[in-house]
Amino acid sequence: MAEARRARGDGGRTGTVVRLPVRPRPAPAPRDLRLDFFRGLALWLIYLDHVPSNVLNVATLRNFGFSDAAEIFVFISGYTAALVYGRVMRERGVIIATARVLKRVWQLYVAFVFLFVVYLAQIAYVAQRFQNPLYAEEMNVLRFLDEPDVTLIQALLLRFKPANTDILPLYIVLMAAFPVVLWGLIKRPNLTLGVSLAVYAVARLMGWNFQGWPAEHMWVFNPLAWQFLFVFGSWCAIGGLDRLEPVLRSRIAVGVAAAFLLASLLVVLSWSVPALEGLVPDAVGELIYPISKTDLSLLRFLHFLALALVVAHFVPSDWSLLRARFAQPLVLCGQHSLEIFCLGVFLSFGAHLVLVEVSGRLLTHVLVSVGGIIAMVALAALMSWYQENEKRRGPDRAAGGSA
Amino acid sequence: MIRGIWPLLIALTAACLAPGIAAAQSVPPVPAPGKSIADCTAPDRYLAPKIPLRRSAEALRAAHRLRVLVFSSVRMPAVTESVEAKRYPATLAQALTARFPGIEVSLTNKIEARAGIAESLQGLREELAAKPYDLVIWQLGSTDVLRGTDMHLFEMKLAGGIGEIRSRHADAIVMSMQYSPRTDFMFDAGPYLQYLRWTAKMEGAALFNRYDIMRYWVEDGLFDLSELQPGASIFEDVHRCVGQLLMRFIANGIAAPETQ
Repeated sequence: MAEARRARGDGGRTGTVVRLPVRPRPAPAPRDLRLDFFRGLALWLIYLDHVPSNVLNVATLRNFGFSDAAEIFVFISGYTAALVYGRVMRERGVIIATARVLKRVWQLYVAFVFLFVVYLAQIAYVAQRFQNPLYAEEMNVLRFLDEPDVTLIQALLLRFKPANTDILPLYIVLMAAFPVVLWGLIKRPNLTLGVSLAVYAVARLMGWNFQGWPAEHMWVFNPLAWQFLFVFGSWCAIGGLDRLEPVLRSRIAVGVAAAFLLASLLVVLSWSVPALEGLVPDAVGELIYPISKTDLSLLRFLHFLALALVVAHFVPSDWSLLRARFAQPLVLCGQHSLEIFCLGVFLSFGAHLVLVEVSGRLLTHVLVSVGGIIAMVALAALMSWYQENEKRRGPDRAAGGSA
Repeated sequence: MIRGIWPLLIALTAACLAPGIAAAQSVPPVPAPGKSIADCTAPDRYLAPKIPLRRSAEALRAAHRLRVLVFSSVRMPAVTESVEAKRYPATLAQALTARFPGIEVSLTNKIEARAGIAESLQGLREELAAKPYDLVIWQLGSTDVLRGTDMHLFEMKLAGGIGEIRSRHADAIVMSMQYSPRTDFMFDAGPYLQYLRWTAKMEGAALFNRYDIMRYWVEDGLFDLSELQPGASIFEDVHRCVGQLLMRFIANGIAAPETQ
């Protein structure tokens, strides 16, 4: 909580940041604010989804279609990674770009270890203080703290993953492999995308996934499947988007995508809202179920594509509202995705504690959710302000961008 | 410049005060010592099986008996008999006898210790081969959520178990795991519940959704399941309530129009 308080406490000074131009770069093309805006949105939704049994969960993306915020996050992360490191690779060569990517991997790894420690602290608290005979089973599992040697080593190997942090190990693996992927995308973009698709297809057909710990655990986000979305995002940034331009402009494509979104909305609602049960024939459910998140089911991927197509069609990159005041909080969060994601996981633990410890009423759900988002925005604003300050003092200190 | 700061300042103050406001607004749910069975409620949607219990209705009509198997797979077996007498199968047996006077109700209670779904299915098969039943309640999921059993395996074994029960001419009820507000940030039951819901529906088993019912209790303030050191009766109260509601679930399934 200290970090959240600090973020809030110092936040007053950050008010000026809102008016500054966002992250001026010497880049030839202006930064596409849609990326920051929607990644910020994904981070907010991920935070809301991570507070267990949060009432506001009903308003998040996963209840309106097959895909959810994770797809947005991974796609945009791939896209921005290619933008940032692609430029470095073209201008300064493969070795420098690889070094930059690996530096980022190291940051992600440290962030993961930090969250793991926070998670352990919360578990230790519950395991020590909670004595409800109803949950003897659950408490028994918490005894894994009795073997710290195994647990700690498995966590450092990314095999034991605290709840809600699963996307970080995925991100680490994807980024670790990124120098090779990026090199391939710059040399032979379509071939690289094809290889990525082949890996996805084979992994899905053969049921390949990374092994977790304890032994029965598999990775929640299968890197062999999710890499395709990440590489697809990178491919779009490396010029693929220009090739897709006719599709983005096509009214027929947008119509089909919108129809698909509507159909998936009906299917998902008929599963979750008791009153709408029977709206969609059971045969449809039987045909498409299960829609695997772990292995990035094709339906989830298509749903994300449809969503992205419709959004890209109706929201131009120079949309004036993206620069409007109300969009700033989202844009700011999107620009500091790693820090805001970590803060989100951290806050979700805190929010969970408030909900079980203080009050589980609707108002508390709303306050905890809104409070968490405000803390995320405040930290993002603070970081932007700090970065601007550093840059003004000495251009040599402005390290590479976030991706 | 100053004007730009104000909204942010106000928002930040609100954020800092939020926990305080939340605390001031909250009324701790009334703990319910010694809940009577009459207090035990859940919305109707949790108590109406989607699959009619045809075999049980037939057994009641034709043979005036109901042979029930409760097969639970838990990690920590409640070993002692005094604890066993407080778990929901004991209440269920009493409640069924009271609900169906003149019917010979026999309830077999089996616990497969430390069982994930694979071991549980093995035990269930042996039990079903040994004795005939009209109704089988298969309680599962906890161990799998805690272990993080692979989803495909979970689905396959679940379908296999339901198929086995039905092939033995018994009605199948699948019972989901407990809801545990204190630990649900560590173990995500969500995907398993979804598989339970769908597989039960597709394989023709009724789903008694204990997880959702317990969650409803917590949200409605009926039970406070997150208290660090609750009163001694919480275990008993919750199990009695589950047993009672399970009886109503079964009675509704037997009374469904399709079984008449």
